[in-house]
Amino acid sequence: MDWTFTLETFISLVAAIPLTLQLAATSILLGAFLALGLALLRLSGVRVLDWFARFYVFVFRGTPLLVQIFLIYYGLSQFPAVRHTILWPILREPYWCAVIALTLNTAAYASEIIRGGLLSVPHGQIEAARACGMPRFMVFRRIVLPLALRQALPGYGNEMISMVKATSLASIITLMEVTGVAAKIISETYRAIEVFIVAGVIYLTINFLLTRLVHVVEYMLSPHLRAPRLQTPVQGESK
Amino acid sequence: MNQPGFLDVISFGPGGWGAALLAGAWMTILIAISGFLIGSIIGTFGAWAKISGGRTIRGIADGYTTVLRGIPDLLVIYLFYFGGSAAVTAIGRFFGSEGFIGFPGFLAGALAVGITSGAQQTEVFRGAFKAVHRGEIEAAIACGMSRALRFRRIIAPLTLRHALPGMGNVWQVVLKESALVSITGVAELLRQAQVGAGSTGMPFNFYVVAGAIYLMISTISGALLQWSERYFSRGVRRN
Amino acid sequence: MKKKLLLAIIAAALSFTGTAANAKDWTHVKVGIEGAFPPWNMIDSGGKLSGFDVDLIQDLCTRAKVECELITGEWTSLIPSLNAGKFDLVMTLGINEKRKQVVDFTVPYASGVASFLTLKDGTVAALPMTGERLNLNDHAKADPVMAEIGKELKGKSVGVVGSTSQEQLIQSYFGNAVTVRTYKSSPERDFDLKAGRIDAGFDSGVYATSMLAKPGNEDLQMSGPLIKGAMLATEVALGTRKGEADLREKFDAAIKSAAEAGVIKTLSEKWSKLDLTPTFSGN
Repeated sequence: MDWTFTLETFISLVAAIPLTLQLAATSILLGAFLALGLALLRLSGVRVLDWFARFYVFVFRGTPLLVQIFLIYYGLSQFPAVRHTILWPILREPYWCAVIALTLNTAAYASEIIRGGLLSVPHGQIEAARACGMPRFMVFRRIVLPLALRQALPGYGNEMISMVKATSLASIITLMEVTGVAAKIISETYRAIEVFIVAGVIYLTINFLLTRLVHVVEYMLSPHLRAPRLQTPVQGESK
Repeated sequence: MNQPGFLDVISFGPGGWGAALLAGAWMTILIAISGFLIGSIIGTFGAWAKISGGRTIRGIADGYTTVLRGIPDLLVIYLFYFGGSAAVTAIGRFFGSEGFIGFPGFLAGALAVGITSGAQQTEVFRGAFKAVHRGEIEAAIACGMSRALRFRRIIAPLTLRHALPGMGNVWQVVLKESALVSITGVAELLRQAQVGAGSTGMPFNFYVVAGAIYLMISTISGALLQWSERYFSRGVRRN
Repeated sequence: MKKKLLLAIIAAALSFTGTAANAKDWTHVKVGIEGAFPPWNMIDSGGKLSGFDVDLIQDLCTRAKVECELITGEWTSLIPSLNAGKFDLVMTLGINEKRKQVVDFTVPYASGVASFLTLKDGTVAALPMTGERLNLNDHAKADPVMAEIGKELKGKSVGVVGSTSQEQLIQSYFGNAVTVRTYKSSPERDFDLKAGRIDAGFDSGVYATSMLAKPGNEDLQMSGPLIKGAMLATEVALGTRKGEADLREKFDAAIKSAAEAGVIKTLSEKWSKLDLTPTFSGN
């Protein structure tokens, strides 16, 4: 292996990490809200809303992300009318097109994960909350959602890793994130293996840290599953 | 001159891209099936390595699934497409063949898809094997079955049955992943759509149609998989 | 077991395309071509290749007395694929120094120019010397013009196809002043130019002329001089792997004889309305 070349490649790729992270973080965050909305539509009991959410999930899970990206980026700009809407300043930017495609895509997958989490909340917990006199929304906010999130977290962790990997497709619409820079270096130097190794290590590191982070959150959210630690009450603390 | 309408460009008539898109869809199916089968072979070995391999073999299998789970599929395809020929040529030279050995895009694509799906199928098969009841294996031993017979008549069919839902999921992933092979210039569905979009200036039409064809393939294959799941579980009592 | 499997796969791969190129005896030549760069080469709805390159290579192969097989591939992958043995020749390869380090070139089979593309009433004002020829190697004349263009483009975005000499030119002349956006293919860049996502494009003059002639592209125009020289690969040749002298000489001769016979003139005028016949002096 040629170490100077590897080091140079590493330096160029590291510079592209912020864009990769930004793409992933923005779309995971926006996607989570959309996913929660979709999951609630599925469970709303209103048939029209339920079918809408089902259809959405069907379409976005049944087609390749790359097709979705092309459709949003090149497809929408085909129509002059789109260029005159207030959305154009956003759709004009490849960055936002990538974020939109990634968000819509992850929402479809994540909504199923969240729905599973919501369904897993034991009925007794809800009944207990009702018995305490909590109104419906408070039951959702204080009981159902936290329990569902805890339950959905491992699955959601996997989805987040998929999203980090999926940001690589943004390179196809001219964004120079890690894979984009890697592809450029390969096409200039024709040294696929070294570049692959460096880029691979970067993605593995990001995903490893992400996995650890999810584990930490999981740990924090499950005090009820751990053996109780003996604690002496702190003076002055009131609950 | 008038722009042709939406249906004109995707029709089967002269100047229509219908036939080209269908040929692309066929190529997509071929890539997906080849990739899936390669992945199944790898998955079988991977699961075997993780279940009954020694420490080194298990370590290799763990490393393989961790790495492939953490890096973008696009990078893997770049590696195989650009790096594949170099590697095969080097191996060829080792065996005394002179000159260059080609590495077609189709093979690179199928191998790349196969290796990523192999990691997923390793986990699917491992989980399915674990789901086989100890008691069934013990019963087979008690009946005096030999190791090979036990594997062929008891373990393999039962594992396969438990693995079917997981394999169905992997298949859907593989189908969508095959779209990434378009970057190597293989004339699969998305590539044909790109060429058509570029040639007619109507990306929206082509990507919508491509998306619809992907949906159709995934729906039909999904229905087939569900039917086979039912068929192979017909002896199972449901509660 | 694993080793056996690996060997089997290798053996299969070898037999799959095991045409280990024998340098002595060229009868079958695999030609790599993009298929998405009209009018040089393109794929029609029937999946058939057409264009100037396609017509010309058929003539050249007849002259070189070899059987040619055209294989399409993504532009950025053509040179790696050539070096990896997927093809023996690559078409539409502009000659420049950077590429000479990785491939050998035949004599040029066409001589073109490069030009800016902008949106009519777009964000870029008219560039100087529109429609006139400008050789960048003539520094006294060219440098002030390029400086003026640079001023005009400052802060704008220019779209080019990745791994082209046009990209190299924009990077080296205007890299600090403009945002360079690299695309996978020219049509994709044109989508973005028409949509106003980028302010200008830079591409081969032949591509630009033929693209502008097509319906739906009335909003676009060529702007500024028709440029050649410097690192621009306007002299278009066939690329071979380094050291494949036999094949190169065969096609050198074929190109020269085709140029003499007027085939290049006829074909280039048929496809691009321009006579692209190269001159071979000084090569």
